[in-house]
Amino acid sequence: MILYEKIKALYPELQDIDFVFGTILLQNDSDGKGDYIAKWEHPTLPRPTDEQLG
Amino acid sequence: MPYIGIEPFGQTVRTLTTITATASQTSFTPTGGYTVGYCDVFYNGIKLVAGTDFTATDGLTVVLTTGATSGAVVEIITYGTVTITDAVRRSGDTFAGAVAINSTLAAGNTTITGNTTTTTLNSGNTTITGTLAAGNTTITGFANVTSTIQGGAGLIIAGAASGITTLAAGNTTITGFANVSSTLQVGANVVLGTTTISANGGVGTAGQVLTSGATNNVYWSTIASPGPAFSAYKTSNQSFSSNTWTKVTFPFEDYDTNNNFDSTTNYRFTPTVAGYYQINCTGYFTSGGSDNYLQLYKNGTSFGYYININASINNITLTFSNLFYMNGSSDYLELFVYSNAASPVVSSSGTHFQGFLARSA
Repeated sequence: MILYEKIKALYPELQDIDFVFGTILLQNDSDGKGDYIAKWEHPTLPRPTDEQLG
Repeated sequence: MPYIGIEPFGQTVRTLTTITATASQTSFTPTGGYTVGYCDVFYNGIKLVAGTDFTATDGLTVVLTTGATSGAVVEIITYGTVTITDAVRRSGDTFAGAVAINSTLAAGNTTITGNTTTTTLNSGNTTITGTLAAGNTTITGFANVTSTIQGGAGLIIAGAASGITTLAAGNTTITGFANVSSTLQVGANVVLGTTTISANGGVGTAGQVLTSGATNNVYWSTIASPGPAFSAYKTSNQSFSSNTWTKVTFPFEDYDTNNNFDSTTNYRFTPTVAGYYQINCTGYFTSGGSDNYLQLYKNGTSFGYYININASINNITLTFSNLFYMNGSSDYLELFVYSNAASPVVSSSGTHFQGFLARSA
């Protein structure tokens, strides 16, 4: 399951628009480190913990 | 007697007056008088003692203490100073007319106010306020010529020439520093060796060219090319996560003139010349979603340059071009893709990242 899918599983109410130029930015720098949360500025939903995403 | 050099101090004019005395004569008058103290008297060849045998105090007559015998020969020798006219002293005087020097004039800190014709002018800090008409002349010192240097067959100015209004020279060599305050007219070729040319704004740097400005001056400027140019591409498809901004890898280069594109680690363009860069980006999505983006990142962050298409179709090509300023040191650009497709893919074919310097800073 990719990072996006894990977050959607935690917060099903999130829409795609939240990830394009919204309050959440998922990014992959193609450096072998995989996807990561580059920005989390959602007004109500807390940033998922590593345990939640593990 | 005109002269130049050491003043002839101490030289005199000698005058001899010979008189045959009458009986008991005591007063004798030398020709032209005399200067007191500069008078010798001989009586029948015997030198008399001043103040004892005779007195000479009025500048006109010599008076013997004892009257002379008739027929005695009295010789009076007087000494006068030399008066020189039409002479030029070694300082303070001026030549009133033209002076022709046919050989070498070795002058240190010399001012020549008239027109001068010379063969060789070896001068240290020389000021010529008139015309220096020189044929085959070598000026080895500092020549400050405020008017014209008319050079003949071979005029060589080896020192610093300052304030030259007109240098009308045939076959002229200037090996020193020529400060031409007006127009330098060169009728033939200008051959530059290892010469530094200073224009408005100073000395140019490597790669710069002389350019005319709006006020007809000339200055050094950096030309746009040759500048960095690159073209990077892929040879394999790149899958990426849905709804995740992902950097596009470009492991291959068509060209990278300045080695400014990193095709091994970071896949970024970091130009080493400051200026404005035309950047061309193309992304070919073989598997697209309803929301597909191609976006340029500058220095690791989005800065508003992207293109997108909202269509749930595959085989979508997104492309855009723009002009960006790059500081030539730390600024860099990267290309990112985004799609909300379930398994988005950016293809190896049709995905490119290119750029070149359009104008230097």
